[in-house]
Order: sequence, then C-alpha cells, then structure tokens
Amino acid sequence: MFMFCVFAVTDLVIIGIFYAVYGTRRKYSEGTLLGVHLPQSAAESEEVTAFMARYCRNTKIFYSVNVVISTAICGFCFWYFSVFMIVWSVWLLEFCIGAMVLLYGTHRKLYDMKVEKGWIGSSGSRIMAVDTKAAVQSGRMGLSALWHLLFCALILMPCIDADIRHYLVMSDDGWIFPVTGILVSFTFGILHTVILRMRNKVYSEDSDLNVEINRMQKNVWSWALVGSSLFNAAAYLVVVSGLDADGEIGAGMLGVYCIMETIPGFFMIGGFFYMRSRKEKLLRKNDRPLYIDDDVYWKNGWYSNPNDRRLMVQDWACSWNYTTNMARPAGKIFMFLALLFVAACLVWGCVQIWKIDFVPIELNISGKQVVITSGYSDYGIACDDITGVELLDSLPDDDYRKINGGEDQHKMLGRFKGENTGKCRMYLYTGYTPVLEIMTGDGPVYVNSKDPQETEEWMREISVNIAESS
Amino acid sequence: MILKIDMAGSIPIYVQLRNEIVKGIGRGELAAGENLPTVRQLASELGVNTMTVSKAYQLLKTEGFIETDRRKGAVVSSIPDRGTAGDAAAERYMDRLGDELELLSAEAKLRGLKREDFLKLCEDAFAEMGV
Repeated sequence: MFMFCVFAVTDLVIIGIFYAVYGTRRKYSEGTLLGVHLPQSAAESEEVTAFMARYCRNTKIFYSVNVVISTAICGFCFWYFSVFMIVWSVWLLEFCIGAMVLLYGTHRKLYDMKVEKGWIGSSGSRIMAVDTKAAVQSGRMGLSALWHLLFCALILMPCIDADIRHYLVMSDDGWIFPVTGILVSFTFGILHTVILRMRNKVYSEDSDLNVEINRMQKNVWSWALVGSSLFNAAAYLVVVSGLDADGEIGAGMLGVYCIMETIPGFFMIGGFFYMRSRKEKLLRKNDRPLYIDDDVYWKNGWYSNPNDRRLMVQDWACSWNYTTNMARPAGKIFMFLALLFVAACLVWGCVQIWKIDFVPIELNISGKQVVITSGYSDYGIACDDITGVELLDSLPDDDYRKINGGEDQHKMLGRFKGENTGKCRMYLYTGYTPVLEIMTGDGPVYVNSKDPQETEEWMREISVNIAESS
Repeated sequence: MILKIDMAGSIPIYVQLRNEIVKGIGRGELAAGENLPTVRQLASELGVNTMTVSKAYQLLKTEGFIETDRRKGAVVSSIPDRGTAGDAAAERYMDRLGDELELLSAEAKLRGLKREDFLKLCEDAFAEMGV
C-alpha cells in the first residue's frame, strides 16, 4: 500500500510538472507562439487559432489519459514489485517520449505553416545579439558560488569530534549522510556556477531593462541555491547532533532530516514562480522588444546551428533546461551518452528488482562456510562464527525495521533491526515456516525455504558441520 | 547598446564587431568613458573565440575609438577635438572616406538612384549619430 501511494503521488507530480512546463505553452508572448516567432497578426489569425485549439485538446487528452494509466499501473505494486517497475518504466518512457513528440511535432507543424505563409523571419536568421551593458555587469549579478564551499566545510566540521569520526569509520552506513550532504552541496555549487556564467538574454533594445531582467533571474537563482545548500548542511548537522549513545538515528530525527531536505524543493519551485511572475511584469514595460528569429535552428525540436560554437544552449520550451547543439559532434555524443545512461539505469534497476523477486533463496555449505544466496545479496558465515542453530515455528515476534534490503508481501531480504532482537539479517519467504535461526557474533540470521523439508535439511547440515568443526 | 552580428555573413565577425561598436559610439549609445565587456565576457556572450573579440578590440584601439587598461578593461575613448582633425590620421581617414564614398556613389548611380535621394540617405544616416 505504501509503495502504491508513493508511486501514485510521484506519477501525479511528474505529470503535473510536465503539464505545467510543456503542456501550457499556448500563449503568444515575446513574439513567439509555441517557440515559433510570428507576427501578432499571424498568431491571432483563424488558421493559427484553430490549430492551437486542436493542440490544446490533444494535450489535455494526452495528459488525462496518462493520469489514468499511471494510477492503474500502480496497482501492480500489490503483486510483484519487479513487474510493477518494468511496467512503470515502460509507461515513463511512453509518457516522456509522447510529451516531447506532442510538443515538438506541433512546433514543427507551426514552423512549416510559418514558412509556407512567408511570415517574418521565415528565411531564417543567423543574427546573434549581445547587450554590452548586461555583459559588463555579468560579473556583478547574483551571489558568489563560493558559499557552497562554506556549506561543504560545515558538513565536514563534525569530523573534528573523535566520537563522530569513530562512528563514521565503524558504522556500515553512517558515511551515507555526510557523503550525500557534500555531493548535494557540491552539485548546487556547480549549478550555481553554470547559471552565473549563462549568457544574458536580450529581450529589448532597452539595455536597462535587459540588465534588470537578467540580474533578477541570476539573483533569484543564486539565493535559491545558496538557501538550498544551507538547509542541506543544516539537515546533516541536526542529524549528527541527534546521534544516540549507540550511534543510531531515531525516527524523529530522521523525520526532521527529511523535512529539512525537502525545503530546498520549495526554494526552487518558489523561486521559479517568482521569477516567472516578475519577468512578466518587467516585460510588460518593454516598449522596444527585440526578437531574434532563430526558428530554423529549432525546427526539428532540438537545436542544430553549425554557426554557433556553444555546446549547450537554453531550451526554448523550458528556460530551466539546457539542450545540446546537435550540429556539433560533441553535442551528438553527449546526447547519446545521456540517453544511454538513463536507459542503462532503468534496465539495471529493473533487473536488480527482478532478481529480488524471482531469484530463489538458497543455502549451501561450502568448505567451512555457510553461504546464503538470494536475489538481493549473498552472505557467507564462517562455521566458526556460528554459536547456535535453531528451527523456529515462526520469526520471533518483534518490531523489525529494514536497514538495507527489500521487504514486501513475498520476501524479507537484507539487514533489519528489531526492538528486542537487535541487528539481524533475513532471507525469508514471508508466511512460510519453519524459520531457521543461525546465531552469529554479528547477530542472528533468519532464513527459510518455501519447502519446509529443505529448511529442516539446512538445519541438519549446519548442525553436522558445527559438530565436525568443534 | 545591442550588438547584432551575422554569424554566417561574408564580413568577418571581428570586422562586424568593430563596425557595430563604431556605429554605437557614433549614435551616442556608447558614451565616452563607458566600459565595454571584457574580451572573455563578450566572447562568451557571442559564442565566439576570444581571439576574434581581441582582434576587434585591437583594431578599435589602433583607430583610437577605445582605450584598454588591464584593470578597467576596454573603455570608449573621448571624441577628439575638432582642432586635431587636421592631423595625419584624420587626413588618411578623409582620403579613405573619399574612396569609399566614390564607390558608393558609383554603385548608387548605376542602380538608378538620384543625387537628391543619395544625399538624403547620407543626411538621414548622419542625423542618427548623436555625437
């Protein structure tokens, strides 16, 4: 049920963001309609109005259908999670590709209409415009990206404490928090640097207006990123300060950490909406707009301009995004590698989860070691480390919390921690008995088979092996 | 001011840059003492090599339109007094201007443009100059 809710909400958020960014680009603004430069008279003509009405209808149908499909797919969460992940991955690909085809396909049709009708700039443009005043002031826009180094240093600061250092070294997963924190701050810092180095956009013949809009955007972005990085560092410091005597993080502290790590999301989204609203207000004062018609380079949806030396350019569809200049070989390679990476991640993730669901749990004794294999991980126990073996009617009654692994209605795999049992490992088919308990120095290991006789056989083999070892 | 450069035109980019800046000074869009972007800034904004911008700035400096300083960067020069118009550089400029006008006049006449229309065009272009 939990995963159903998580993915249902996630899907709605994905669809909502896509719709907000790509699905609502229907208004004529800054001399363009759907990314195509048109005179206002053309944008208001009957033909274009009817064309846009059809596009609006198709967009609404596409997004509505995907809301229904994505919610229905989440029903697979109640069956095998791996099956759900495969179906969900296919849906995600369909949705992303479909949204892009819908947008860029319509953009291309509108561009073709513009060329056919001979509207302004339809012969293409090779003009680059630069505002010298905005360029001079580039270095004075926004906060310095060096603030992120300070926040990285704040995350490293607790390492001064010997107890913290000991915890980070000895703990299996305690290093995750500081490493994640530093990576996040580092990523914000790189994003911050890239944004400050973005070329200024020319909106008007009025240089002061260009400076004001570009400065506002860079200021908002830099404040949002610095604030996000600060909360990221603060979240880690709160968690470290809340470590108990056993070096554990309580649920309450974890909750505070999650809340604090969510705040950057609000900064970014809030910053985006503020920037958009402020930019619209400023552009209303623009009585000398400057439009550079470069539609010919965008006609296929992606940017392809052999005369432009830049590798990355701002996307017309979403100013947050950058796209590659596909006229450059490096652009093609980068795009190919990025797509390959995404595809590889999706395939790898699905394979790993498939293994968890369908690779059987097995126990073998090899030499002086008991080896438990499963779709999650393999675990070897030296016979000398085994202090006891017992066949239980069921898993001891306790409140188990998963530390690392997989848990659903079919299996419990990985490392867990019980209130009374303490740290333990489980390789269990849920609902199957008996359960073999192997006591070790690192805590108990619980393992079973779907066949009770096989579990009993494991018990006998291990007992014989222990007796022979002693 | 807004510089507009035709990236695929027959005129080299550094010449276009030079011409645009001169026009900007002439129209008063770039005032004396006003800072121009650094070579790196302008190259980044245009998406061209820094050598291209550097070449344009060198040309402008040689012609006396800008001054460069390691700390301040490129700055628009003050307009020379009329009193210096008789110096050697100004004389060379007048000769060059004469040659270019001769070519323009010949082409205008061959394309059927009347004298009054040609002079009106020259007058309008000069009137745009705020300097």
